[in-house]
Amino acid sequence: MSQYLIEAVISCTLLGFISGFLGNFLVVRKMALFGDMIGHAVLPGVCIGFFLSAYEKNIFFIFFGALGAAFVANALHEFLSNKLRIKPDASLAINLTGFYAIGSTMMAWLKDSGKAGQTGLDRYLLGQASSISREDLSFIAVLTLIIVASIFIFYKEIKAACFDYQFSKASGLKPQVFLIFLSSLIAANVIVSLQAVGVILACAFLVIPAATTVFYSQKLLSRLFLGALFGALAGFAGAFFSLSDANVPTGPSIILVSAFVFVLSGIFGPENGWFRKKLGTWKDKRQHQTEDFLRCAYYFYEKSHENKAQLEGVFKRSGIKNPKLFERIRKRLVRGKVIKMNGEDSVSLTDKGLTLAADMVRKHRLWELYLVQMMNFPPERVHANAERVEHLITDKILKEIEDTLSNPDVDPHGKVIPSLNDLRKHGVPGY
Amino acid sequence: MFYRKLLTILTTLCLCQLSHSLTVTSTTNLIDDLVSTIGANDIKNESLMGDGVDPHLYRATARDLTKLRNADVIFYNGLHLEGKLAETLGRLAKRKDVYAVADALDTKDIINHSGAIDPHIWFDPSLWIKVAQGVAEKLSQKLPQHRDKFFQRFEKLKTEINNTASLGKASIKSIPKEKRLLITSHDAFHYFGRYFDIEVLAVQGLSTESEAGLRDIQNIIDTIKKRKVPAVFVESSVPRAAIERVEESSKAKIGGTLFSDALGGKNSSAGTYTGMLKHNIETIVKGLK
Amino acid sequence: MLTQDAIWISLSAFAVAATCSLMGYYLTLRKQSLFGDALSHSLLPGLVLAFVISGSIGGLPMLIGAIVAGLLCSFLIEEIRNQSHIKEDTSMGIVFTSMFALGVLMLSQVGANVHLDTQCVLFGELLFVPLEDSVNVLGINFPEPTAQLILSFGIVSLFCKLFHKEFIILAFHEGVAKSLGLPTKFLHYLMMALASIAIVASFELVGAILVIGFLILPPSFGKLFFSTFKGIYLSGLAMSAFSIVLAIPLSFSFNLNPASLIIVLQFLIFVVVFTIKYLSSTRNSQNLSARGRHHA
Repeated sequence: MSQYLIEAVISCTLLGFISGFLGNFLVVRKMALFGDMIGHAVLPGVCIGFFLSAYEKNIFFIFFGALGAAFVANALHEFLSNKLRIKPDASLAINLTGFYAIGSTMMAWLKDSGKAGQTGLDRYLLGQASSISREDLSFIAVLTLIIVASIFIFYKEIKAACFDYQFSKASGLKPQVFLIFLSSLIAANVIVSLQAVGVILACAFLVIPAATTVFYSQKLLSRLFLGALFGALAGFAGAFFSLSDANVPTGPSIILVSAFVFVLSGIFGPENGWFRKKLGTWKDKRQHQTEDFLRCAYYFYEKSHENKAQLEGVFKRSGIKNPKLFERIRKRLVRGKVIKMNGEDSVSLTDKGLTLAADMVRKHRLWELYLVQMMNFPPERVHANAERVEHLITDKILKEIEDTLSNPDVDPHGKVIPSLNDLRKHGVPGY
Repeated sequence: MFYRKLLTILTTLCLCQLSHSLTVTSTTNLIDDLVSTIGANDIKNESLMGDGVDPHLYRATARDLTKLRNADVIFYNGLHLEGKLAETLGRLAKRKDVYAVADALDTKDIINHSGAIDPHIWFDPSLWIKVAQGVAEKLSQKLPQHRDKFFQRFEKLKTEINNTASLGKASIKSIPKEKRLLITSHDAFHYFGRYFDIEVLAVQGLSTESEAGLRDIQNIIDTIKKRKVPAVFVESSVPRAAIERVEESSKAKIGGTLFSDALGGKNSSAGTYTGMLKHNIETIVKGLK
Repeated sequence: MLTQDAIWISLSAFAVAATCSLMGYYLTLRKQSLFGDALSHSLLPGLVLAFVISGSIGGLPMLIGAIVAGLLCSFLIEEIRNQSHIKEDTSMGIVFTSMFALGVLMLSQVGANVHLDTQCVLFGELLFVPLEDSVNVLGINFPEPTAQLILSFGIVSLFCKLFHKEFIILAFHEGVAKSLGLPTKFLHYLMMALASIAIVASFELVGAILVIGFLILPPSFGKLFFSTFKGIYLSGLAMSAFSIVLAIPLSFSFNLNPASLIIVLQFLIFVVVFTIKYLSSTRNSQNLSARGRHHA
């Protein structure tokens, strides 16, 4: 591995780290396209810098021109957003468009000046990930230290400014100051990124890794760390792919890696990941099917005082339409030792099943009673609702209902609510 | 009485012919340079892209429309160099004298990278001479009375270009084959490479959006080391970062700035075609020797 | 003759204004103000694919490739937004950067010898509209792009007229829309598809700056004074007309790019008016509180 490659990989990883870290503040403040705005807003600054350096492409003039334009655009953005019904994303768009159009007009004016140097001025500042210079790397490193240090020193104030603007204002914490401070830090990061890796990667680094953290945690601190991690990972892996094969442009490689991680996280991530959600829904559904089956079986047990229920009857009462599905549930419950087969066509509840069933029935009938007594529902209307709500009643809620209704014995249909004593009498384990 | 009137009319007509100047607008400054050399004072010439403007990065300004409207003849490069404008001019050709100078070339002259036509025809002096002849021909069709003058100037230009070209060819031949490798940012030199018998290698492609990969740049660095290539070259309108990295990481130095898509400023030595060609050749030879 | 050119340029710009400020109104409601810019970056993979299939640069294949890419872009933005808690602007950021990256990667694989970038092969130039072929409509010779822009405006406004209520409810109260039984998903996709096609077609005719500018500036300006759709849209149009009429002659006098200058004027007008309105509203509230103290 040559020195060039090593330095390139380090630069990309470090830039990913700091951008993934900062990006969280943008995503949370609905300013995800802040990088895009700065990237376009620097054009007039670049033109002015070029003009001031007597039409020579002098990097210092141009860099500071760009920085100046970025700060003006940022200040204007802060001024416009959230006032007079202009939302933050609209404010970004207005500044992006306006500044870029001004820059474009300046370029047109410069074209007339006849100085050969103006051509390609809008590309002048834009770097590429594969050609990050050593200066850029040192800028990135220094900036990373400054940013991480600043954020941690003022963490509380910045967090308050982002999430509790009104409260901090009222407490005299001056959130406006911290917000401008924060966006200035981010603007500086963007300018350095522009020079190092160009507009698109600068934007992508600020958005994608931070967006990915949404699927892992809601806490800002965790997101900051995760964002930095994902950013660094994307930078490293993307650079690595770029150095392994020919014709793999570095910036795009990094972006596609981070997008891939994003999609994976969206599917499998612990918080709101699609797969997790579906899994949760599926698990819930199975649980509800179990509980419904048992409650129906218990009904027959109650009626006949015999721990034996005909499958036909349970099927009819359960409301499950598909006999194949019913069959699958039955098999699952036998496997789970919740019911026992009593010959071909009837089942008995095991001890475990009896506990569950009685619990379910108790919740069902208490809820029905609650609806009738406390919410004035007519008794004919409560069964369907109770069938759904019974699955959601936790032990705490159950206790509340019992207390509110003063431990009743009979449900609105005259059926006995299995009381704790009853359950003990019946020999239901656990009671 | 009658004859005096006739004389007056005839004289006026002749005077009108003499004072009627042809306005020629070209798109690129390279074409404009040709037109002004061949047409000189017999025509009025304008160009849309001024000194040093890269056609890939051209932005239209209001007077460009005026220039196109006022023109009696419009010349553009063709081969999609001017992008959407070329398409518009192609359609305008139905209603106005609009010519793509590349039409003077044969299909076999044009470099085609599997569907993508390379428009940088001016880097091959033999092709540019053909283009110049086409321009002279078109101008002569519009102003037949100046045909001799146009073709005289064309012949002079042809000689000049051929001299520079043959000197250049010899010069470049003197570079040992191993080192005879032109490394630039932008992939604009294929015609140059073909004519002057020098290999070309670009860090990034033709498109302004394209980007190099780490492996691609490392490959170039390795090639430089292996073949002991002494220099790499930057271009006037393309960002230098990639070439600078190559320079940092290999033993090659930046040999100088080449003009790839535009001429230099009007007052510089590279303000004419032959001047630009000479500058490029000298820079390359000096760097690679 | 040049005044005729100026008229066609102004008319074309105004047609873009009418179409884009209409779509922009809905987009800003949905907090997708930067959709125009995001879309412009997403087009690259479509262009590369069109090149690979058709073997040529320029012309109809490019437009088709761009529209396909645009539709894909809007689809992905909606999907991400629907399937997760990710907000509109973040979703746009993810999609456009990824699609652009894909485009550059495809370009490198196809052979970097192709000069294929949106600025060169897709984006038109407002200034050169008068040079185009004309088409005769009702006895007048319109430049083709102008006629196409007016037609696009017609189609877009027709759809918006049909679905206006639904789009509005969807933008303000998604929950209400759902409970009313509106096919929210379909409407979202419809809106985005409509916007993409209108925007890409406009890009092709007059370039990106003008389109993106008209998507955001007139509606934002209108919002400073009005809260009804009619008020916002019409005042935005008035502001557009004013800046167009001012910008075209100025751009000829100073040899600038007319499209850029139009947007510059709109931006300046917006900032000045915003500042005046903001200062006067804060002064008003200060006056009110002063009066209050006085009475106490």
